[in-house]
Amino acid sequence: MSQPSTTLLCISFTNHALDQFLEDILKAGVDRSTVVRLGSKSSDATAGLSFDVLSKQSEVRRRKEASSLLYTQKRDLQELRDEVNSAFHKATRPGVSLTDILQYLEFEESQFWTAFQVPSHDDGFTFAGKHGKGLRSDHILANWARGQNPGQFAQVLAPESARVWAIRPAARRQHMDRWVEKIRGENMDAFRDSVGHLDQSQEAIEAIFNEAKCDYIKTMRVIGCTTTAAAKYSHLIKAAKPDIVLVEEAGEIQEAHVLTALHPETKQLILIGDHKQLRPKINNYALSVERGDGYDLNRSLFERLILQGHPVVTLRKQHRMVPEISQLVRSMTYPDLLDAKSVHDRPEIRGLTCRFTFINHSKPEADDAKIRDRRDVDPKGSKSNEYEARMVLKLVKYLGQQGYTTENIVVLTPYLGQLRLLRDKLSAENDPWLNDLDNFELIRAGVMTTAASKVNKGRIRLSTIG
Amino acid sequence: MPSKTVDSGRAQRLDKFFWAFVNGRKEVLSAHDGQLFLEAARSRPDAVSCLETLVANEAGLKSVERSVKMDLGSRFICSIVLPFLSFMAGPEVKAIYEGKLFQRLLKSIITPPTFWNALLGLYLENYFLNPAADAEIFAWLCLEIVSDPGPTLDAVAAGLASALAQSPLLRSSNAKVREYGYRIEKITKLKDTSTTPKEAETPGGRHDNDFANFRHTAVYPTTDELSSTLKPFYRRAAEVANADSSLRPGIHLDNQFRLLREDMLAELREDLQLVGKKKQGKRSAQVLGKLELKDLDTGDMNRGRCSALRVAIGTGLEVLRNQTCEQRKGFLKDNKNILRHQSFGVLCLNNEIICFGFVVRDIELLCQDPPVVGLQFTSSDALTKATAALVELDGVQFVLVPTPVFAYEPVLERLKEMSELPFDSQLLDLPGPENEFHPSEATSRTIQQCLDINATEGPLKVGKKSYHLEQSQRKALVYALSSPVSVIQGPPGS
Repeated sequence: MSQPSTTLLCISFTNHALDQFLEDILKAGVDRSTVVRLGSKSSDATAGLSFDVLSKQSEVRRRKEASSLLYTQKRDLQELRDEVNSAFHKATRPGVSLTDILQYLEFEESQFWTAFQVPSHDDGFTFAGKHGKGLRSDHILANWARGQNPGQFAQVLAPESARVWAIRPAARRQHMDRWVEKIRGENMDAFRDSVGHLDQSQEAIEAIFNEAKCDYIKTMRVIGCTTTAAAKYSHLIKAAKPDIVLVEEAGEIQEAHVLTALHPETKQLILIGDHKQLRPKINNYALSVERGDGYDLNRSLFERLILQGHPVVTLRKQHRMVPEISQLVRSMTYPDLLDAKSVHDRPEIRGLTCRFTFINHSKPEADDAKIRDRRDVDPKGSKSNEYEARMVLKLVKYLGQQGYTTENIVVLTPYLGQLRLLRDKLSAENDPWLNDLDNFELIRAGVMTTAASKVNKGRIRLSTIG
Repeated sequence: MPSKTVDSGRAQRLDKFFWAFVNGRKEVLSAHDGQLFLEAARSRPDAVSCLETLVANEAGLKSVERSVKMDLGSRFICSIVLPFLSFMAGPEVKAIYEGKLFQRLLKSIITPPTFWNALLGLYLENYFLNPAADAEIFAWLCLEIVSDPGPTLDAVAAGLASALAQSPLLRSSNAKVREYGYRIEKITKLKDTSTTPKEAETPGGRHDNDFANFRHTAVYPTTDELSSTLKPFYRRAAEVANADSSLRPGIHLDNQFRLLREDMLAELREDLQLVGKKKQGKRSAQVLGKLELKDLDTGDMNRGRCSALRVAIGTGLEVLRNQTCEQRKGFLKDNKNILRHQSFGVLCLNNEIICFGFVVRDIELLCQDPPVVGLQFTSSDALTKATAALVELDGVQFVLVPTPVFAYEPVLERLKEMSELPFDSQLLDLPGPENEFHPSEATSRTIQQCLDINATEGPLKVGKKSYHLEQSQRKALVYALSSPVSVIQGPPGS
């Protein structure tokens, strides 16, 4: 980062990891004015890095040439807009006029058209229609459609036209219907084409507006975003041309999301993650690795490279778990894991004999059909266990009596159903504080209202895993 | 790359001429006009503003289009047109406005292909006047044609591919030309996802949205597609991994698209099946019925947006019914989830899908009686279908579907756009020379520092800060700094 001309793009799966990373690099001394965050969410510390806010505030002005370009595009757009509006009205009009039909016939079915023309008199007279006014072809067509016979023209009709007049009334109505349908189809097609042009021009204008944003992002050295934002703001990232793309939580991100963040000028790709933990979330269980059919959509690029034999460096020292707990993890999944010195001196937990305890019971769980777990591809509902929930409540109270404030306690559960149950139980004595994602899921399932989710006095944290 | 005009008097005249043509006061009617115009264009101070000016004025691109066709002889092409192209060939020109202006310039030069055919002829017959320089511009132009995402240049690209097969750029003695040739070959292979005879099933033909080339597939499904009972085409991971190395990048991208789209469709199909039925586990979908088409909204002069239909809602918004306009405003402001802006839904009639669309939420319109909502659709085709349906049919409904298509759509569109797969040799385990990567000097110094520390176990100094890294952290750092693609595993707590 001591190099002034290198641009870094950092992508992660969760907002939390992204904020963590941005906070860390700011602490490391990277110039704040060159760091920006795409997307709408942020932590308190990273709120000032929002790209939307900063780009609006910046004084990036449009260049003179760009302004004239914009002017021309807007003017063209107005013309197109008028065209589209008239095409719309034409296409949605209930009826089709006789004149329209005649015009159609002139080009598409001329033998009919000829039959409806007013024959000419050699002596300069014209035929008279109703009320003594000059006869017109639309009158003639109207008469034909009504089933009348040619009357005064019968003698001067050419043979093809006579044939037209010989068509039976019922068949004439069918022809009329057919022409009306054809014309309406044409009107719709014209409408569709003009809308297509309008939308294309609209996109071109959007590109001009975006140009100022693209100019601004080129001045940034560090860009952070989640995978969703990376896809949404792909054009901004392309303009920024990051030299290095750093992907965090790479084990949880679908390969397609990583590929689409890369550009031909990217020089380095760094993937950091853990394929032994959660896989990317997908919806269609049939495509998953677990299903075993071989489609493997939820195999992250990270995992796939490791399985392919790409060189991996594994970090070995862990700084979080006390040795009793790290031993569990070491024996199951991470045989080379080492403990940092700092984990050896943690104080014992007051009131508990062991650092970890497994409790076995035989009270059955209930299915909560209303709620579905986020990562669970099983269509059946989530689960909850009344007995365990009551146990948790008692434990929280007990630890409170040992002097631990609820600030020191976090309750984790795999199931959304249990989360809700725990929330209800704990709210009698505390204010359970849920994270955004869990809130969203519970509201989506209809078991919590938006208003209720806003209550958070930060008393005790409650969350699902993952 | 502006050319230097020695004579400032000439420079002034060229400037005047440029504006005369661009403003439409003069027309390009002869080869001489064309020559002067192209010379004037490449004498502009920089290529980016030149392009902007050409596109901003109606006569600008027209003059370019005419000029390049004025004289198809080798002298004119090589000494007048190619230098102009060379001027416009900088990467900054393609970068502005997401490349859209450049695309238009390219289109005006290449279609109709009068000039292009002549140029191609010169290449195949070896009639370039300055073989080295001219071949480079020609190769660059080939690359641009092949990289163009839109359908307009597809035919030209196909013709180009077969011409280059006869006389490959890779045989050139010029290294830059060979480099272009190599990239063109990769892109052509990437875009050509026709299957090999080995594959038992093939893509394409099952319904109106099933194509051999995934780039032609619309992101949103069609009615035919959703009602098709045939198993859609996508490959197992092993099939991709075993594909021929020159075809693998193309097949990989193709499969990524298909699998991701299948994931979206699975969720969409499930949500659509719940339409009209009450199923346990999910709230019943919101259905807007008794719709009446009011108007077309084409945006306004200031910013504009994609066209949308304005539709009055008869049933489905009962919650607003007994509220006054003011009450509704307040209610809608507080409850952003009611008809959330850009929520996804399907326009249908009795379980038959007409098309897909998005809500355009306008509080003013929703306060009317009956409430009016804006509906944007996925394409102009879809908009037209919706219009026809609303006008002709009775009982059309708009059903809100909770599928989070916003999470899929941008990724799918971007996959379609990609003409090159970066790091393909590392990501797909392809044999052959690795992409060369050379760390910068500053990075190399840091790498050296790390390697030295292995002996001393001292801190790593970067700028003003020092960091104490343990051995595996140092190893990871060296690895990341010196490789094009690095994979670092961090177990819990590390």
